[in-house]
Amino acid sequence: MIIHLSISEFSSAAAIASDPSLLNTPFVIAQGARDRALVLSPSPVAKREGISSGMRLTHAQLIIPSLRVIEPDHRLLLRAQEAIGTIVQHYTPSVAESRNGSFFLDMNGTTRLFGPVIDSAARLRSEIHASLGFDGSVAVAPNTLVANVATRTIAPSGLAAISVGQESSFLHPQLVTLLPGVGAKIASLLHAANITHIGELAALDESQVQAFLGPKGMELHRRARGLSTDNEPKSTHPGIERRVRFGEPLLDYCLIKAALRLAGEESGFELRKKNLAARRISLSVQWADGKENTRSITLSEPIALDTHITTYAETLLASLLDRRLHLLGFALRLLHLEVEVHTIDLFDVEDELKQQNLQAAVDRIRTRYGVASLSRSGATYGK
Amino acid sequence: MAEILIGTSGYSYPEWIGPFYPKGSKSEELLSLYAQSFETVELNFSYYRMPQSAQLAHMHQAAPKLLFSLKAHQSLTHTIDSATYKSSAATFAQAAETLAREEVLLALLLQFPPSFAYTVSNRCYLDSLLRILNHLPLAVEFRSPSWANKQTLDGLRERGVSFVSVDVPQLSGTPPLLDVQTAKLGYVRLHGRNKEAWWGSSDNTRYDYLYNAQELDSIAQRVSFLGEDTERVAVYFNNHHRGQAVENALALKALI
Repeated sequence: MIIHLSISEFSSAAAIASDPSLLNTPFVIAQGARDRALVLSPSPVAKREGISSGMRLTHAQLIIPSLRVIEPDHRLLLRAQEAIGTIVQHYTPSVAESRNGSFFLDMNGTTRLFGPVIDSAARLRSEIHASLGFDGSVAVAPNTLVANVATRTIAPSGLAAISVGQESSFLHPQLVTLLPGVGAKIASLLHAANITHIGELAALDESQVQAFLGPKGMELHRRARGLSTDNEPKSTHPGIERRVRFGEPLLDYCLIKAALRLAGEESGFELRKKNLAARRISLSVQWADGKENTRSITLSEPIALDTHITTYAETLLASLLDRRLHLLGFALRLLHLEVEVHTIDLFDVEDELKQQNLQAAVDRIRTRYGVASLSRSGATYGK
Repeated sequence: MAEILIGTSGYSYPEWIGPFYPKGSKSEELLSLYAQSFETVELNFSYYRMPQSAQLAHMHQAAPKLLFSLKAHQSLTHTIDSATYKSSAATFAQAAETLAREEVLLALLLQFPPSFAYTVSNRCYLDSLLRILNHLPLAVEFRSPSWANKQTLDGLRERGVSFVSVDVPQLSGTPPLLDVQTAKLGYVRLHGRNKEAWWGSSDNTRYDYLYNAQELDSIAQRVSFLGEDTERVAVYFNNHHRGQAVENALALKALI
């Protein structure tokens, strides 16, 4: 069984946990140039007044003129993520961590130690609330997919348990927009076909799915039937690896990061050419004293965009660089590859679509002129 | 933090005389004896026969501090007749108002059977029923898993109606466990986890279950969490067979 823990509006929840005086203050975490800034995460008070993620900040300020605006604090988020991660690891050694306060715990084999998984889930929720002040949605289910839909169903707060055999009866009446992988674009295609619930998508035969959604729709169809990728035989795709050996040992973080970004862009380009996405990223660094360290991260949603790949790669790099020693090189690996299904965050549609369109445009240029023809400035200068 | 009220579903079981009620207790004494141990009770007789105002007033007099939840009559949940349900609801509400006026009514419990699925006609019916009863505190328990969805939770939130958290054996065909706050009152019903006897057994066998200490500890944490954003949480044990509901309710009270 899997436990999924999801902290709703993680950025604002982390701000409140850090400064409890914010609890009753209407505020938003927002980023961007003044006229075009978007709300990334509203506080509970702001949310109750109708402010939502993805809304233009100027619009939010019309709703609440006294709205306090807080810049995203990535260090605070990282600390909060780590603090939750520390508690979570007391329940099982097998934790797949994704971003924004979301954790999947594989609880198989823990019953003899901790009792029924639902009891562990209740204790976990209480412990995180008591120790760190976070509340969220916690769901127990036979696989990550059903657990993920369950936390979305009960969000922003609650506990759910779906047992073996209940997967279909639970999934079918849910709105299709709760299915991971269904964003605004796919939802509009499905709505045009009068498909609003997951059960209606599951009931289609494969030829109908192909007609509505094309070949990529088959993965969504599998999900609608409650089949989670993690319960299926592992991908036969071997993974994509980029090994970089520096011309001379490096200590300069900016240069190392630039090389890592370039490797991330190259491997991302190869990934997308194969129409794949990665669920796991691994980074190994080779030190001047001959030692090698590796860190990996498993993601709840597969990723394929350069911006996501490089962000996770840099997170891994930051956690690996704990020695004041030159680096000889590194190896970046994209693993657990699967057919790409565009995943559009329900509350961040505009930004996600922009990123996908930008990535597609960049890839068209690279296809024509070569992968080295276009890079982010950070991949050159490391800034 | 909410006020957490723990009790049992029903109180008038002859088999409880001896294990819980003093031997020789008469049926008319049971409610006041019950009220010495618990702050609330869920009345189930009202499911089988339409309650009368005078009858409920008499019960209130017997236990003036006891808070009541009142299970809706079967004509409103199980044997629905489209021609008569509105008048039945009005009659039921009129009786319940007796307790509401005395401020001892926690909720009217609308418990729907597994056959009452999430269909357009059933949703329309529920909406209509909730409108008739909306001047009273309401809680809805679904036994069909199809209601465990976001639209239901949002709909109940909009109407200020409690979604009943149901603890039953986790089997195919039973509703999933959902602890979600949709109103000021959290409402939990604990039916036991007798997997072997849940389907195809009499009520006595189905509810023959005693929660163990570890399960009660987990339930205590769930109940406390429901109380985070609510004013009150009502918790009722329905594993009444052999007085196990009383034993579990007292143990949970001690834990919380």
